[in-house]
Amino acid sequence: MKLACVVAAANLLLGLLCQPAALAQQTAPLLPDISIGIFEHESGSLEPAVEIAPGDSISPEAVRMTETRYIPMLLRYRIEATGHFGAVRVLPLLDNGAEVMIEGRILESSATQLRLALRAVDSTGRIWLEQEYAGSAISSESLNAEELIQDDFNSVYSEIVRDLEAALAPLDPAQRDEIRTLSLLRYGLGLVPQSFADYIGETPEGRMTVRRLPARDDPLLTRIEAIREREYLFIDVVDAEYSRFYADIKPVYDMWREYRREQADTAISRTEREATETSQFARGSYYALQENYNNYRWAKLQELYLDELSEGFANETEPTEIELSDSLYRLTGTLEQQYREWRTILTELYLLETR
Amino acid sequence: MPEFFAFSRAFSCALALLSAVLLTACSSRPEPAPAEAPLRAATQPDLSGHWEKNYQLSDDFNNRFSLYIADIQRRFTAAQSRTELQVLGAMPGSISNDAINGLARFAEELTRMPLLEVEQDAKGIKVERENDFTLRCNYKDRLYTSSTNAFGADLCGWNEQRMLFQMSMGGGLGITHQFSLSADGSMLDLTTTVSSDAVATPLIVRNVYQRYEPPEQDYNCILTLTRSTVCSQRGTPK
Repeated sequence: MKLACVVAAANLLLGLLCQPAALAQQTAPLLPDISIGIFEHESGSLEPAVEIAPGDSISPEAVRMTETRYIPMLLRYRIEATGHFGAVRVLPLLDNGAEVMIEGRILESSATQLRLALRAVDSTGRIWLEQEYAGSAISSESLNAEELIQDDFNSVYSEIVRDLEAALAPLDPAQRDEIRTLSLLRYGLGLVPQSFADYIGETPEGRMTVRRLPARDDPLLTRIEAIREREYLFIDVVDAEYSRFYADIKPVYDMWREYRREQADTAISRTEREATETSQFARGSYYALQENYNNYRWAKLQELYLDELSEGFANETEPTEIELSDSLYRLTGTLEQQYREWRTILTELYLLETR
Repeated sequence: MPEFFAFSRAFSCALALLSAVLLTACSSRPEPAPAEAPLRAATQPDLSGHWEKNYQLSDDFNNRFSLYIADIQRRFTAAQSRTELQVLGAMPGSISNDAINGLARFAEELTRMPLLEVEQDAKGIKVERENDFTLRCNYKDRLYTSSTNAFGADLCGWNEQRMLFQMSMGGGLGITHQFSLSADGSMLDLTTTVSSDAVATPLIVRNVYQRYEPPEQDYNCILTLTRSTVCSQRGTPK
């Protein structure tokens, strides 16, 4: 699938021309935005490859790659569903300008167990959560729940969301405002350290504070905001890509986990069957032939089913095209590579504009 | 064409090896498959397309079964006179009517397959069949390939211009599907051989398929493990 994001130059120019909001007097809803980086997978959780046919198997790397995106996307939908937060985005890289950034590691992921290590920090350096979450799979489906946020590890995600809400609840409006202000200043610091370093202070405990604010009509701030808007353009593309990936892979991934559970059960029953393998039908009779053929047929269907799973996991990212003003930028590689490339382009654009 | 003879010999050897393996594989657990053959040389016919059974050109099963029974009786009589019963039947001194009828009934059901859809490229071939699993052969650059699972083993590949799928299952059941294309490419011949170790003579059924253009379908149907054929409406917006 070719993904194209074409943005009219006028819209961008509008972004460039718009006046910066008065940082200290922003009246935007004080629901902090949350950025979730794609997760890392602990190397110890690799499961052996599942062979579909000779030389053809579902690679554990493909499943791991899926999980590093699937789990943060599911978390994103769960957080969004609360309505207590602003925009929730999944990003290929950590965002130094995020209001609240969630990083995660998958410590264990099997058909029956999920164990995650999460760290959520806001732009002031306040730690919202830093701990492990674990749970066992409970296959339950609620008819009232949205299909996208159904998962066998609902309890794990519910616990994370509860902890995030608990971290948000005590923050007063001034603290929430400070989170938003610092996120922009820190974004600026990443682009032009020499200009933004003076605005940000640090407490002895290592927390960031707003030392002073740029003027309301500071042209530097205007440019930084415009650049960030452009970054959001790409993030929206990424978001759409991850959403599509999630929607495509969710049924495949769900089937995969179900298959792994069944496989574990079948291994036990097969051992039992082999120990007492006798057919109730006379050898050579129609029913005996049927029984043998149906067993074989079942195994073949299972191979086919695994093959389809394998195709689902082999989902690859297509190049992204973004049009900015008169230039069309074609980004290739993984989304992580594209995001790095896009950030480089934005930095170069910024330097060009400020010469 | 010496290369074809060499190829045929290689395939026959592989089949013989597989048969030997299957004898043990199906009675207990699967054994390793025989070594795979080297690169195939000839360009193979393209069997791709949608095929529907031509009943006029295909075997009438009742006729085929009558001929089969007549053949068994003829061979039985001849063998009886030569006291070679062991060669013919698993039960010396008699013919198992249950086994013959069972084999015939099973073969009749197996070979109904009114429609086939074949996809083929340089790497492999897929034959989708109604209400049965898809026959797949990932021959890539090989003459044939083999695999085993808990319930049997199979060998598939090109034997000259014919595509062969040979399967062997528990209980001494063996099935070979042999596909070949007519010279003008309009007909697909499918010869199926069904054998059982309870009956000395295999039953061979020949069906002929002709190309057809499938109508645009409103439903997309797939064969699933647990729910047999499941259909969903095409074009449903996401």
